[in-house]
Amino acid sequence: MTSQLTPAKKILICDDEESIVEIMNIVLSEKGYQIKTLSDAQDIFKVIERWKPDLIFIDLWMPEISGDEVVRELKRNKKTAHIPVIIVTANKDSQKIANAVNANDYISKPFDIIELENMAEKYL
Amino acid sequence: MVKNTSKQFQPSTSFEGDFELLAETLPQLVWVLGPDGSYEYCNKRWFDYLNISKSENTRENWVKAVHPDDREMVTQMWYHSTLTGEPYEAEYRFLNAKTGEYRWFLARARAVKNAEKKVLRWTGTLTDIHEQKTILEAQTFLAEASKVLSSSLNYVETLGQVASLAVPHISDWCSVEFIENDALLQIAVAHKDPAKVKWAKKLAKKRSSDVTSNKSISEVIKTQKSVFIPIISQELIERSARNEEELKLVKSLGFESAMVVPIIIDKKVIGVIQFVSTESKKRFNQFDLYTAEELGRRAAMAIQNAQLFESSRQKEVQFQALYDSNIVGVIYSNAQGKIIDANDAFLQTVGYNREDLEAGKVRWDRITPPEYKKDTAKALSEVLKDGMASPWEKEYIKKDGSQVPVIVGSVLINKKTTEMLSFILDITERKKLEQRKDEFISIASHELKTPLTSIKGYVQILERIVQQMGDEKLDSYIQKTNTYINRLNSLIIDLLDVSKIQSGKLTLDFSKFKVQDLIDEVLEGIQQTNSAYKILQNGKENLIIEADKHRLEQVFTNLLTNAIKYSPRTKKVLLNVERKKDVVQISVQDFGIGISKKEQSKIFDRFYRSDAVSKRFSGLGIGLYISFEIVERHGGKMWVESEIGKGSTFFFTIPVKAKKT
Repeated sequence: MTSQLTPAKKILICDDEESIVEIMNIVLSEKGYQIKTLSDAQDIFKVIERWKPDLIFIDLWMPEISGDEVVRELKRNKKTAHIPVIIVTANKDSQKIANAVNANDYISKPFDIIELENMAEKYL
Repeated sequence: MVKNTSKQFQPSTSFEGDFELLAETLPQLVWVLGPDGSYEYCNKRWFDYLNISKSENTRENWVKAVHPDDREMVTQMWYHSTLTGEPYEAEYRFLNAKTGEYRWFLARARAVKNAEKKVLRWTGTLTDIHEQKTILEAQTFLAEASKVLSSSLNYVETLGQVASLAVPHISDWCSVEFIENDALLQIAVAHKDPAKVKWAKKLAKKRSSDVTSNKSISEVIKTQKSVFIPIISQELIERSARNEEELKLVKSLGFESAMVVPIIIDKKVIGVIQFVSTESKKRFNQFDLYTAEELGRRAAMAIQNAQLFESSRQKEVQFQALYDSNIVGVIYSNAQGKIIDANDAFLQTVGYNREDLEAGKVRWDRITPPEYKKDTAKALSEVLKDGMASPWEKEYIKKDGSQVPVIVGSVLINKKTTEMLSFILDITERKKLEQRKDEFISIASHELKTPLTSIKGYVQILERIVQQMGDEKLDSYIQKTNTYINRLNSLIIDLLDVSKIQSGKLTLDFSKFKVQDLIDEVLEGIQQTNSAYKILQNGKENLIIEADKHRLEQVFTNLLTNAIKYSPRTKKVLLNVERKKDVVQISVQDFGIGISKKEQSKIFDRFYRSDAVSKRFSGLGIGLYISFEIVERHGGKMWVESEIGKGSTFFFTIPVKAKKT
């Protein structure tokens, strides 16, 4: 858990589903993390460069830009490769997909909010 | 001149004496006549054969002994010779007065003339040529019959012609009858008189066609051997006639001799050929019987050939129709890769034309992509070994370089030349459909799970707030909501699993784990939501297996929740785990409603719900189907033992060591 004295850790949430973004925001904010949300992956690289998040939750299934390409690119790029990326997917084979795109971890939909908290704690 | 037959065996020094001695020793009938045809000398054989005394030895009696059919011919030829003095020679049937049988004779006579060429007397012989004649006749008949039988595949027609050939040389009557469903079917009848044929046909129609009504025929069918009646006695006629009318009829026909021979195909009498002698007074002998039986054999062969030909022709027509219909691609090829022939459907599938095929550009080895070489080689060795290969999926490289998915099935036609016939089904459309289905599953999965995720998330946030408020009533409602969210989630997962199983996309992730760990986890989860039920485990097995843990958890959960669901009145469920050689066997026993024998075989089917259950219990009917498939994919087995009202026990086995396929 983060202390008030040290600057809050930053989590970037990227999902096209507004309600899920909201739930993740509520739960993780409660835990004292600083949250930024994106409803698509179009500006994700710019945002990362500027905001420098400590952890990224990303939905793989988004319109226009495919989430798995974004994750691959994040892990290829030296500037972003160190940031842990957790994929959020409705697929049952989440583990396989996470491996395939070099993501650090995964959460399967529908998830328990406690999983979300545990995941954040694990990587921050 | 010969005067006295009583002196015939006394030695003589005169020419007449020598002649007489010679005439009596000869095996022939010998006669000497005056220029006018009057009797001068006949040997003893002559008198014996005709059974007459010297005083009865008149021209009238000689003519009477000649077969009625031959009389005119004999009279004319003799008349010609006496008129011209030319040698006389004729073949005719001559009645043996002692046996009452006509036998064939060769008659020869020469005129003895004086210096003025005036006929002094005629000397003649009659040589018995009956055996040679009948052999020759039989041979000619059989040769003719074979020719007719092989002339056409219409054996009903050819057998009719054969019957006609038998008349009159073999017998006076000849008929062919087929046996169909124990009934006689007359297919041919012949007699030299057309009026009599007509009458016989009528008789056959009137007569009972039941085979058992004809004693000879039923005997032939039973023994598969001929019935041979060389002499039909009056007594026999009287004995076998069924009524007065029939007796009169048979007597008027003058039955003399009869043979009934079988036509045997595949060790079964399929028909008979009947030969009857009447007005010719011919008595069939062993040789006639042999001829008749031979005809029966040849007829059987002809029928069999015709049937074989017909069935192979039909098959050919059927196959040709399939080949030409172009519903499915067909190729005729060898194991080396050469395609000898192919139909249009195949050429269309691979994008080549007939010229390419004829130019030898289309070889199956060349159009098989490298990644399918191994499978193809395996199928090929299967074909060469077992004669056929069960259909397998592969792809061909089309003329334009693209690849087309197909299903191929092959059968070996010729082992020596390795020539085989293969069916090729273009499954491009099916593959597209499968792909669309996969995409649909993926979309549906996302579309259904996303709102569920939102509901679950909000409810869990709500749960925390309520727990902080300490409102127990609200909290209990939220707990219930959670239960239904989980239920909805497992239904979605099940539906997706069914789709995966259906499209063969259900994959297993093998790992090594303790069976007991898995059981403990499952039991904990189930006991939490069904605290009223007691799940008792019998025998803990400290065994590590290699399997898909998550999938097996599904099976355990399914069986245990079913056991609870279908035991509304009892609260006990028994779980038993034991190792049996290479497998671990698990059983889940309940004491609930039970399953009828009839339904036990159906409960593992997709979407099956028993009538007894569907009204009282909710469900999609896919849980057991998924469990069964998961167990099978592991190389295990699943079955049920149950009794209505007493409960059910579900068993399944999982190999201890993974059988990865």
